[in-house]
Amino acid sequence: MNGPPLPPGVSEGDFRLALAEFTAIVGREAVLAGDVATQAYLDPFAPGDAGAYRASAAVMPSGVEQIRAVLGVANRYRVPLWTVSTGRNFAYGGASPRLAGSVVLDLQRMNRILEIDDTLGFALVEPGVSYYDLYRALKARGSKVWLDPPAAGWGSVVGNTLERGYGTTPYGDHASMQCGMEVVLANGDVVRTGMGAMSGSREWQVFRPGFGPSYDAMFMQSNFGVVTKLGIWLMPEPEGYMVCRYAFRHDADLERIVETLRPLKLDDTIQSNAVIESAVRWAAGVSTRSQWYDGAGAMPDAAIDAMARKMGIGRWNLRFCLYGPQALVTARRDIIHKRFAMINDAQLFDFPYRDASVEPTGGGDRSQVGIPGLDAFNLLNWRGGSGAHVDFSPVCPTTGRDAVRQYRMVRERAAQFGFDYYGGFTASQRYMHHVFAAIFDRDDPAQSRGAGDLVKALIEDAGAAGYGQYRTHLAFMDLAASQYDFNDHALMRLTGAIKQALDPNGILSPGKQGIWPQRSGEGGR
Amino acid sequence: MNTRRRDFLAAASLAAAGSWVLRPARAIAARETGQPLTTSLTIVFDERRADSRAFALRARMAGACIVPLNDDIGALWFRTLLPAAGSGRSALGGLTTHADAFLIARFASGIGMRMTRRTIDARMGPGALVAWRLDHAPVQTG
Repeated sequence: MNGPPLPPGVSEGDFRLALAEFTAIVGREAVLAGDVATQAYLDPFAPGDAGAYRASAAVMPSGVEQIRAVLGVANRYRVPLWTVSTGRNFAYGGASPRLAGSVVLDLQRMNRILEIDDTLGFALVEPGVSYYDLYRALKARGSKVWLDPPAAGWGSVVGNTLERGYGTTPYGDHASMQCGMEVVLANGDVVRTGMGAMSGSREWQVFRPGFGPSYDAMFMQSNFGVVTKLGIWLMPEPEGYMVCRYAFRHDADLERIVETLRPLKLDDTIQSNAVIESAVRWAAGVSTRSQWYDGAGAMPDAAIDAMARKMGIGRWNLRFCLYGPQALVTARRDIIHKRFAMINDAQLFDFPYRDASVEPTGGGDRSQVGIPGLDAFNLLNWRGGSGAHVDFSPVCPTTGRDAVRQYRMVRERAAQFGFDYYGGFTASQRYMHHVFAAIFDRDDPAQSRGAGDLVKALIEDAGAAGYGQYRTHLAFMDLAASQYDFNDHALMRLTGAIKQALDPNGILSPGKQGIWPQRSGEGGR
Repeated sequence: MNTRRRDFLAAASLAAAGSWVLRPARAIAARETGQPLTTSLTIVFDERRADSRAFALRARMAGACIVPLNDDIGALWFRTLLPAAGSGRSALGGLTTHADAFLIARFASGIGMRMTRRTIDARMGPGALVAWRLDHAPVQTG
């Protein structure tokens, strides 16, 4: 592999000067340059050539003042910065920049938990704080509040929230549980959103709107600023909980599952986000593919049925959690059981009501009571070799018709490319996150390219059918953004105008979510 | 730890394949017989896999500290492996699945450790285990 690329349009001499100035600001140990150092920022799950998104260097500031100074240097030399919190956005690009040659602005050293409020249930954290960090801090102080972990508990609270990640407790929509931000703009100005705009505010983390326009969402999945502090609401620990799992035998059950689930979500009978997992997704968490099928191409129905029977799981598996006093939980459980029992051959499992202090053992169950984990990564073992995955993540209305349409579309296209349908839906009230992972061996170039080609085809298929992405890998950000095309891409024109106003030199995360600065043109991409 | 006959046989078959992970600890143990090890090696093993258990047995005989992978790997990292790796003279190793090796490598990169890894018997396909070792490496700075 060749050495790291230079930032586009920046001479080697200027880049050297910029690095020297970064070093003067953050210290020698906090500027990483050269071949080995920048390889650490490559995407380990790149569907294709990871070098296409290679950073030129990384800078790790330890505080807001250092960020302001770094931005000053970047503006002066026109060096693009790609901001990451901890850089674990795996399946969507990891820590790699969209624009090769960008300098990664790595915020992992800013890892302070600034406040935990047990009374009102919130925390204020810096970007380097992971879900594990926050969980450990809550346990250490005996807090009676729970966080909501995403599938990968080692991610940054700030990073995941800004990417609109999700979990499976009632606080599973992370973006909607965010309250208050501190943002450093490209010109170095430091802004606090909502009530935080008032000096000495006592309401920053409790009332998001503030007085006048509200900007928090503008800094999510964007490149308009560097978020340096973020408030997140935490769930009061309930008296107890009950984990429920239902197994549905038939592939055709999906429509009825979703139709049965929706009213129970809309009226809050089911409080947690509910997860509908395909048999392969469940199996990949606890076994490897060759245990069940060793043929070429996608697993056929007969093999999936046989696997599901042997494992005692369904073709579809529903998981959710109920919270509160035992009498209320039991009442909810009885209502839910009655509705789902009407689906033929459904197996309804519930686990004993437990006091909130009792921890469940399985990874999925633990995440529903606010305990971060990493079991989701077991999927890396499914196909063997150096397992990796890239995700296709459309939003799906919570209707059976839409779920079936998306499922069939994805499964059939995946099979054409030789991939199993490893997918599932995480249901909120009116929408579901439908995530399909194309699992591949990254040491196999054909598989790796195939995964990338498949996800690209899926995004195109979904767009044509009226379904947009909620999140995507670096390689597909332009494609996904281009599908938001109402009135000849009016939304992107608005976004571009904001970008130009806030970051005229285009130094912040060029290409993030398809947002390119005017100065980069097509040549820089 | 279960040390059945099968484990001993498996340990023998793995001796050549995974011994490079253990080499430094064994060398130090030999050099400083009767003395506490000045460089520690902590070996992670997968209790579900006979080969991994056998490897752990061999590692223990070579003077390494062994840690079963029977909990959430993140919890294991913070509770056991991070303290064990804290010193610049400590090393971690293991014979685990690819997924577990990947996760530990990423955690360890945060404290400046670099992984060397080899797949043991790739013919086993998805069930193949990965032998790996993490050492502290100098960070290349600008």
